[in-house]
Amino acid sequence: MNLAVEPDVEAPIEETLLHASEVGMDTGDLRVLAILTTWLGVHHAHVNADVIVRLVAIHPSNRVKAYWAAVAQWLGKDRRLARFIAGFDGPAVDLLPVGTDFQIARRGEDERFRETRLRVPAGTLRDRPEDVLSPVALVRQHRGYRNRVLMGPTPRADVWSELERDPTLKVAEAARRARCAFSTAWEAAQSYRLLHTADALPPGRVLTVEPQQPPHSSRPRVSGHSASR
Amino acid sequence: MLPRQTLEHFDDFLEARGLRLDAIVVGGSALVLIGIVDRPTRDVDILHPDLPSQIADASRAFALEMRRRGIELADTWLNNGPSSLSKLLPDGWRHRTQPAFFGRALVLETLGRADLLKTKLFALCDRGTDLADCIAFSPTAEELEEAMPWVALQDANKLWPSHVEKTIGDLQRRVRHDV
Repeated sequence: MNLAVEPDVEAPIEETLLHASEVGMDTGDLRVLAILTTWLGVHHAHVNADVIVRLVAIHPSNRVKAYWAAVAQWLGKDRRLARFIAGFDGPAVDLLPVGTDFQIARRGEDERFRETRLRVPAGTLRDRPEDVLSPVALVRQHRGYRNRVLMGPTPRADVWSELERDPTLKVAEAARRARCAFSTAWEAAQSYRLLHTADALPPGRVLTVEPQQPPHSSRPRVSGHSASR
Repeated sequence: MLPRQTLEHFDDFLEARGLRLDAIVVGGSALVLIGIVDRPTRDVDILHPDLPSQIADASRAFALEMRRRGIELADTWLNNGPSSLSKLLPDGWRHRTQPAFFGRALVLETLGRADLLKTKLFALCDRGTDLADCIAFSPTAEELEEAMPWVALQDANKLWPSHVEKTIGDLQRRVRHDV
């Protein structure tokens, strides 16, 4: 988010989004909520929906749940977010502590939230694209975001980011940090290490798989030789 | 943008170019400079004077330099957005200003407390934003009572005065921690 401060290039995306929604909905900081909403409008395709849905589901605040349900209704084409709608079945919530009816009568509703679970007067949540980093800028600054653009907003991308950050990371820890199953992290780690092994080979160096050994030694042996042999 | 740090750099920038600006700042940056809130802001709103073209050009060049250093700063970070407010403020506001930033080439004042509070209360009633800033102001009951008539005059909507009363009443309860 474009607050003209040093960016946190390792910020966990979904936790940051949840925190912003909490600050906006529960403490009334509508500046943060406005920036969050603009950010989601630009970047929602790169959000790990499974993670944010889980985080919101266990959050105690009804107002936070209402916000995300409204976001899911606004961004209806992103079907991954539809689970938020089921997670909040109460009546529509007023964004403002007082004066929502007056403001809506005076200015109308925010088009993004019209007929959603959140009643937002027009002009209350400023929508300024320059308040958030563009996808190009975010790809350049944030490793995790870049990998999600490459691989989709999946646990695989997040495991990859963790391994780029620390190639010595144990798979179990990568799984924990990426919030995914061990098997998912394992597969991603295998791919990561394969690519980096290949990249580390000097030019012309080729690894071959030798012919199958006798049955009592069934594992094929791998040897290296120069490509000129 | 972190207002104080940004303005310190801009002060250096202006001095190096032989430029000077004395101005009155309002908005979120003003609240940060006088210590009422501590948060990033998007821009610096200058109430008075109208920014001379040399200063406007310098502010854009400064923004470009900041962006080259990896710090996002819009070309319009220093602007006269709220200048029309000067016609609406209570008489004598110019004599009630307070210091906000004192550099070598850049000297900023802001509105006096009562006038600044009025602008924030108006923003709260007008858009519903600025609640956190108004709470940070910690206005007394007397200050809110003094401000309410001015705020109530700022919109011709017949329901506006009632809306102002409810909004400021809600603020007063929050400041007193009744909510």
